[in-house]
Formats: sequence, structure tokens, C-alpha cells
Amino acid sequence: MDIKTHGDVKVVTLLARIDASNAKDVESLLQDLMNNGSRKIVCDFSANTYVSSAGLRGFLVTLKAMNKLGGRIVLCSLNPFVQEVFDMAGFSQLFSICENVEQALAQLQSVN
Amino acid sequence: MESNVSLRLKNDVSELNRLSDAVEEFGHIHRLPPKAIFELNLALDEIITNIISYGYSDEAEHDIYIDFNFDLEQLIVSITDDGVAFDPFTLMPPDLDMPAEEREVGGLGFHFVRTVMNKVEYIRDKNCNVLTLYKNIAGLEGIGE
Repeated sequence: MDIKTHGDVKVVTLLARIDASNAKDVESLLQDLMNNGSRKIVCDFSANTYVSSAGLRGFLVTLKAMNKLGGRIVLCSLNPFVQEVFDMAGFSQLFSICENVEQALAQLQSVN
Repeated sequence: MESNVSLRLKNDVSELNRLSDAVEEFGHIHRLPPKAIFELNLALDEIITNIISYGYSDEAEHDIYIDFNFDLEQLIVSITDDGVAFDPFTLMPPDLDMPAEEREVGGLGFHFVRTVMNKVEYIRDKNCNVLTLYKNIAGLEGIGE
């Protein structure tokens, strides 16, 4: 997965599909970023077209960890079907979800 | 019934890609709207993943059968496995209103299945679990395009 750095923010471009066969990879990658000190992460879904409940776990775990660490995770560029998955899971109310990376970065830079 | 397609999968998450391809192809042949294809893929993925994760008390290879039936009115898909008896309706539905700290992802898979399908039925038939999914197709936006 592609990771770009914008100041103190890491922008991760997620895989096309996240399901039970690779969800752990996504979770590990996000965990590694936090372990290495990242406190602002953007998950860019622009290359992603599918997330199952197995895939949601990594985002929830990261959100909980960031809440404890005083960090932030923002999601962006969800396609309508992936948005539907987040809506059905009740995750849309838990996560900051933006239209695109620019908006996500703006959100993270406006926080203390 | 206009069409009948059967798929046999092994109880391994590496089969999920093959499942996805089969659903895409089935959806394409029957000109299902993209949203219906996505939802069917999601529902089957969640069920198969649950079977793979929890369905067996041994380390052996098992077959899971998926039968697709389609007529102009509805899609009927049944999933048959020979794992331990398990009725997913006995699962606690997830509480979607809990704050992040208390949320878990457990139970979400079957919740998705029940949300995207019009009807879901479970029976235990001899030594198999059979889950049948029904989705109304007539009248869906984009059907036949």
C-alpha cells in the first residue's frame, strides 16, 4: 500500500479490496504507523471498491488506539458502496469521513 | 427458474477472490445493477468467512456449496456447508449506537446479510447448515441495463 507523508500526516492509499484474506495486513500497516509515532493518519479509499466487516476491524482498532493516544484518523474518497458498508455498520457516525485527501488534510491541520 | 449456477468453494479465505469473480460474472450475465452485485458479493463473503472462521472443529478441508437461482422476480442463493450446526439467527445483533470504545465488529457480517437481502432463512438439513438468501430483483434501479 502506498504511504505518503504530508508534514505530520501519513496518507495511506488502501488496496482495491479488503476482506478476510488481507484485512490483517491493513491492520498491521496502520498499527506500525502508530507504533512509529504517527498521530495523524488519512486512509484514502480512492483505489478501494470493497470492504467487508473483516476489513472494518482494522479501522475500528486504529480509531480506538488513536482516541487513547490523542491522535486522529480520517477516511476519505469512499465510493458509494463502501460508504454503504460503513453506514450499515453504524461506523459513519464514529469516523470523520471526507470527500478527498485535500479535505482530510485540511481537517487534520485545523485540529490543535 | 431461469437460471441455476453452482459454485463449490474450499473453506479457505483465499477462495474469496474466486467467489467475487463468480458473483461479478453471474451479475453481469443477468444484468444485475452494480449495487445488487456488490451487496450479493458482500453477503456471500460475510457468510463464507463466518463458515471458514467458526464452522469446523477440525483442520480438514471442507467444501462449501453456493447455488444461485435467478428468475425475473428474485434472486435466490443458498449456501450449504457441512460444519457444526450453527444458526446465525442466534447471534446477538450488533449495537450500532455504542461509542467507539465499546464497539466491536462481531455480528456485523450477518447484520449486513439481513440488511441487503429481502429474506434470509436457515435450516439444518441432516448434517448440513443451509442458509438461503432472497433478493427481489424486479423493480431495482438499473436492472437490465
